[in-house]
Parts: sequence; C-alpha cells; structure tokens
Amino acid sequence: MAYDWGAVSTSSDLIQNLLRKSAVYGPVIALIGIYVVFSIMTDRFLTYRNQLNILRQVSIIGILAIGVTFAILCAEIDLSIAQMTEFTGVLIAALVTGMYFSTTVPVPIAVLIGLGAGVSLGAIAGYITSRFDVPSFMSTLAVLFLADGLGLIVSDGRPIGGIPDSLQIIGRESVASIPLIVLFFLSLLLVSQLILSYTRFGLYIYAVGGDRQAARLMGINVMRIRFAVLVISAAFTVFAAIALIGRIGSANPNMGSGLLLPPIAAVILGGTNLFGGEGNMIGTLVGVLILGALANGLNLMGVGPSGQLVAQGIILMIAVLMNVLARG
Amino acid sequence: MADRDTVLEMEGITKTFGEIVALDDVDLTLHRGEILGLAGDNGAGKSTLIKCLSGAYEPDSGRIVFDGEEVTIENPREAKALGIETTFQELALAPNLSITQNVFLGREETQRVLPLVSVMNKGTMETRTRELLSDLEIDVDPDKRVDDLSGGQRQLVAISRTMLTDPEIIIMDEPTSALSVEAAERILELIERMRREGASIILISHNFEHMRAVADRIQILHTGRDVGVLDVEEATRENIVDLMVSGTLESEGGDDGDPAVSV
Repeated sequence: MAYDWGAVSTSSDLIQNLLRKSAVYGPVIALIGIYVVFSIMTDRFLTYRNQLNILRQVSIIGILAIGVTFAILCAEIDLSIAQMTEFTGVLIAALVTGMYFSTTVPVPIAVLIGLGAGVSLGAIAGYITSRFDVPSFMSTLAVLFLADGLGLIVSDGRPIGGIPDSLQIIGRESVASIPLIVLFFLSLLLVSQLILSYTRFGLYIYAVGGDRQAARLMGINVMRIRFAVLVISAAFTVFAAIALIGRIGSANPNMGSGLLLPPIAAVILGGTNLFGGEGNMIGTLVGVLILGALANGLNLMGVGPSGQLVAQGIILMIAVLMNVLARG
Repeated sequence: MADRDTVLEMEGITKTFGEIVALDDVDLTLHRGEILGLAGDNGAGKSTLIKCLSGAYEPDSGRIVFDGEEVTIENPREAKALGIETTFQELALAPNLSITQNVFLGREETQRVLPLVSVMNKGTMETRTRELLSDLEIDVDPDKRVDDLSGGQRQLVAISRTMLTDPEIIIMDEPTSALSVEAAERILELIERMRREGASIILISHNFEHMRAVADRIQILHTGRDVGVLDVEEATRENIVDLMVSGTLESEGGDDGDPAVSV
C-alpha cells in the first residue's frame, strides 16, 4: 500500500515545470528567433560560409565560457580569465621566441609550461577559496591583477611577434574548410559535457553548486570540487590563449581585452543558473551563439559595434530576468 | 550496565563554539540493535552531539569507541566509511538533483570505460533506487527532482538513503517533525524495520509519544550536559520533562544514569 505524502498540487507542479523548462528552452527559442529574424532581414546571414564565420568568431569566447561554466555551476566565478589568457599567452610566446632562454623552447614544452603556470595561478585562487572560504569573486579578482602584472612583466609590455607556425595551427588552419579553432572549441565543449553528464566529478559540481552544506554532509569532498573548478577554469584560459595567438598571429599583453564579460554573459544567456547547480555546456554553446549571431547579423545589416552592444545589453537583461524568475 | 553488547561509546564529549559550551563532558552508550532516544530542550546539545558522531563537527575533546575500537571522525565521509548513516534535521538533500542522485550521492556506482576513465552507472543506480523506494512503499518517481517533492517525501528520501547500504548505526534527527500523523507513523515503522535488519539507532525527537513508541532507552540532555538515561518503562512524560527542564528527577525514581544538578 502506498501512502500519499502530501505531494505538491498538480497545478503548481505544472507552473514550476513550465518555468523550469523555460530556463532550458528559453535560450534555444531566443537563438531560433534571432536566426529567423536575420534570415528574413538579410540573405547573407544564413549561408554556410557565414555560419562558419560566426562559429569562428565565437570560438575563443566559447572556450573561456566552457571553463567559466564549470565555475558557475559550482556556484563560483572566475574573474581572472581575460588577464589569465593574456599572461599564459605571452608566456608561451616569450618561451617559443627565445625571449628568456638563450635558445627557443620547443612549442609543446612551452605550452606545457604555460599550462603549468595557468593551472598554478588557478590553484592559488582555488586553494584560497576552498580552504578559507574566501568568495571566488575575490580570490580570482586578486589573480586578475596578478596575471595582469605578470603578463606585462613577461612581455615587457610589448607585443611578441615571430610566433612559430606550429603554435598558430589551431588559430589559423582549417580542415575541409572548417576552421580548426571551431573544431577545437567544439571538442572541448563535447568533452566537458561528457564530464558533467557521466562522471561523479561532474555530478558533484552540481551537488556542491546546489547546496554546498548538504553536499558536505553527504560525504562529498566539497573543498576538492571547489578547488578543481577554479583550476579547470584556469586551464581553459590557456587553451583560449593558444587559439588566440594563432588567430592574431602574435601575442600581446592586452589581447584579452573584452574577453572577461562576454564568456560570463554567454553562460548566463545559455540558461545556467546564476547561483549554481543548474545548466550545462550545450546551454553555454547556445549562449555563445546568441551573442555571436546577434553581433554578426546586426553587422550584416549595417549596425555598428555600438548598436550591437545595446542589443546585447537588452538580450542579457532579459536573460538574467528569466534566469532568476525560472528558479522562483 | 555494559552487560549487553555495546556498538558505540562516546565518552566525555565536549564541544564549544566560541564562548558557547554546546556539549560539556557528555557520555553516550549505544547497544547493538537498540533504539536509543535522545531528548532535550532546544539548545540542549542533541544535534551537536550526533553531529560529532556523523562527522559534521569534530569534538574538542572526548573519545568515540566504535565496535570496540577508538576512532576519530573528521568528516562525514569517514563516518559513512565506518557504517554510520545520518538523517539530518535539515535533511541534507541536494534540491537540484533527482531522487536517485540524492540516494546515491557520494557513493555512485561507476564502471571503467577507458583506463583512468570511470563513468557513472546511471541505469543500475536508478533500478536500485526504484527497488529501494518500492521496498519501502514510497510512491514517487526516482527521476523526480527533490525540490519538486513535499516535505514528507523529502523526509522519506533522506531516510531511504540511509538504508541503501547496510549501516551499523543510523542516526535520525527529528525524522517525524513537520509530518502528518499518518506519515509519522510510517516513519516509526521504518525505524522498527531498520532495527530488525540489524541497525542500532539513535533517534532525536521532540515528540515523546513517537520516541516512547520505538525507543528502548531515552537519554536526556540539559544545557549541553548529560542528565540521565531512562529505560523506556520508567520514561514517563513527567520524568522526561523534569530532566529536560531542570536537569534533575524530582520524584527520585530512576537509578539509571546519574542525574546531575542543573546549571
């Protein structure tokens, strides 16, 4: 015999479900809407070439957005991503061009050193946040300054040219007319989604993001998870740096300008809960595409950067409102 | 007193939070297969005491002897590893996860798909949860998210979670609070069943009737101190209230434990 445990009434169940679904489907509907509008307004929007173009344009923001998604799902944030991209980028560039050692450092080793440096800085923020419960908002803000300074020191404040071709492959080359940078972004996205969906670690990110105290009481090592998401976010800045160097053909200590807020905006546009515990990488892809398609479409229609910013601001405002409303 | 088989002994447990002494030299003995009630007014230290056992807090001093061996329990993981499961008063459920995910949280079944890569065995876990829920006659869909459940359903999920493994000790902090009469009775049946299946249980409740219905002995805490243990036969409402409120038995009835003078 089964008891009725006073289940939530069906009508409020329905509304709750609808709202929650709106968090999942809202971004997709918005993206489709943007596509429909621009496809009608300009015939240059919905072409294979232009779609690849959009994907290429959003790839670097997208790579950073993946890293930040890990953090936001866990109810953390990483404010250092732009400066971390600059620092790790110029560090790798400086090593491969022989700015520091009498000889040039081979590309794979330089990349590993860059990854090591990025992960170390992420680990500092992660340790301070997870061990001492300093909000990641503050610990990664400190790393923002740290990485900014280190980037200027390493590059001597100047652009670094003469980057070997092998380091530019990802940012520059294509396979069957599909830019490698796009494949790189989508592969990272796929792997990240698999981690979230199928591993214990992925589940624990949601658990900690949903209710940190409950997660601890259920025996999850909360410190380790919080530490790990900030390290992962840092690692993705190195991936972004490598892609960016190839894309612009050099490295400079200001190349990260404009790379902090768009990735975070994309994550929220994609329906990931501002306060952690809900969302996924597919949403982040949708969010990144919303930003990219909007800018691209407006551009094709002759709307300049200022108008694009206004449009992005409006969309983001709607998105954050939905984001909060959807979770009651 | 130690004539029966003892599964757990806590001795001289003291815990302070800043200036506040939450527990002052408290002892607790749990016999194998018994249900020990833990009573006391708000702030008497009941939850703090069981949290020292479930790893949520670490006591400042005192010994915990589990199955004849002294143990230190530094975090909830270690408590679970020892076979101590807890239903916390605040339930400790992840609201954004499904029932299955909550039931298995922290002990997911995995399988290795590549060297170094293990994935969760979602199918197995869902089946196990479905079995567990139907075995306990809990009629909810294991895919449902916890924040879609009613208070009673959440309570049941939190309790069923302790029965996934075969724990030696189950601690239940206020499992019947905020439940309908019918739901509370059902929980009491579950507690009896846990005992039949071999668990020793510590039950905290504000409801004397619930406690007296299932407990073998009732220990009373008063302002962070241990003021006595009553066998359930002598644990009249008056006796419990006396100890809870003043820390002493006015009608000097029980000789079990050592009723201390209230602070």
